[in-house]
Amino acid sequence: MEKKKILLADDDVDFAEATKLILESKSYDVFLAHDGQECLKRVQTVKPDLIILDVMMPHMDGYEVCARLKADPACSSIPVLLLTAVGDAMPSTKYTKEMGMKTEADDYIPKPVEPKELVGRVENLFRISQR
Amino acid sequence: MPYRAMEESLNAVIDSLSDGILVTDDAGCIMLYNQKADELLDLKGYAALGQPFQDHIKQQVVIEMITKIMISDNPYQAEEICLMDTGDKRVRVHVNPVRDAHEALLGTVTLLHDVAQLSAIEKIKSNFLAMVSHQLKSPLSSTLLQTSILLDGMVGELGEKQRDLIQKIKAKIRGMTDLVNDVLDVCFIEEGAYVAQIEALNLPEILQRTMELMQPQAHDKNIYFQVLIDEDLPLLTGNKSSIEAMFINLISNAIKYTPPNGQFRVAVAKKAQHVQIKISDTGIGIEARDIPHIFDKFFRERSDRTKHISGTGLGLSIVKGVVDAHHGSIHVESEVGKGSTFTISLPIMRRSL
Repeated sequence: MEKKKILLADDDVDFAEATKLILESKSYDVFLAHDGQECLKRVQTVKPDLIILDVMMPHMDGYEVCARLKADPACSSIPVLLLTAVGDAMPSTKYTKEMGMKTEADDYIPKPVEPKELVGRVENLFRISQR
Repeated sequence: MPYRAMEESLNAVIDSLSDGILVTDDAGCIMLYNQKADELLDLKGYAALGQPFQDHIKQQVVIEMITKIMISDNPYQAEEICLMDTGDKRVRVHVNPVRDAHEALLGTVTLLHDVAQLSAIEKIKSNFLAMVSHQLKSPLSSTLLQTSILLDGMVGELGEKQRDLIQKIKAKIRGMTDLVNDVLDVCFIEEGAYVAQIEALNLPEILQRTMELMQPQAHDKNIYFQVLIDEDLPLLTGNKSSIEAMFINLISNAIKYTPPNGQFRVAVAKKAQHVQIKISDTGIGIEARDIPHIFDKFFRERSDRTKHISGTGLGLSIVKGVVDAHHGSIHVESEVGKGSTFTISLPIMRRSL
């Protein structure tokens, strides 16, 4: 069976590399983008089966990237997982869980995340999207 | 009586106040208001003078507050406070009764304070906190993930001593992450409760979400718990995420400080003009000499019985901050070795915080 492709956008290189390692150990093909704009470009060439987006990124944040992906019929069916270090607790800012849920992202995980949880959410999204 | 010797310039004084002021008599007729009140309530100049307040004030919230003060039999009914949004303006409204020396009601006085400017400052502060949060949490999440990768053996098996060291590093990073989260919670509470977002609170729903979150921790220690919620609970208003943080901190404490196989219980009930929340556990309890300090920031009991329990020392100060912001009260009963009970009373009030 062909490997599933995951496109991961995160400006924190250490986090991106670590996540890549974890997902590759589960036999996924992982492609990296370092900001929102690069992510939108790579979607065209990589044609991923799943997209993982950090929320706070330079140039274009994860919400914006997610909104654009979901507005584009060519990629609106690709599941999107939002990932962020901000505000799972209680900030009265723009970057809250409610805000994350208002976008059409398919799932939302606050950082820090354990490898098991990350893999679990990814597998779950694939299960749902195959139905 | 107020001390004054400037009868004739009193009008000028009242008009120069930066807050709006509006006075009614005991029949509810508008007796006085200044320019700022005219502007905030849109009273259209002199027309409202001597008229019933219900006929000229369009803001339902203000009408309800004045009515509540007027019909209250309770001489101790002190004041009504709430936040009102009028288009682009955000106004804090206070209504107080005016009484004579024999406690008879002479009328009401309403104060209107424009908090729009304050809100702008709070917004900048919130964004700043979000940035700080991101800058602190990002490197912690990366390192945490890296230690997990090492411990999971994804990049080769570890020797016993290596594993032990990395486990310690991981625990420290977790502690730092908790600390950053708690410090941020404290900041958000202290940034000024009355400009925070106020909404209707569905306590059963909030509690259910919290319990779902905490259940794995309780399960790990084989702790049995019960949640009892009165059916006819009145709707409370307040800040949802801060109430959530309050429950999370109290319940995680109940689990942390209760030895395996113990139990805890959460009960929510209506008590007169309050909703009472009682959280009791069969935990290790709190030493009597520590009770006055448990709500202090960074206070933790340091003894043999608590040294294996991790925490930031901020949890209960967050709880206290949330309760205070909702004009509630909290008290603790505890017996060492038997358990602790935290009782919180939140007043039933309209839109006020």
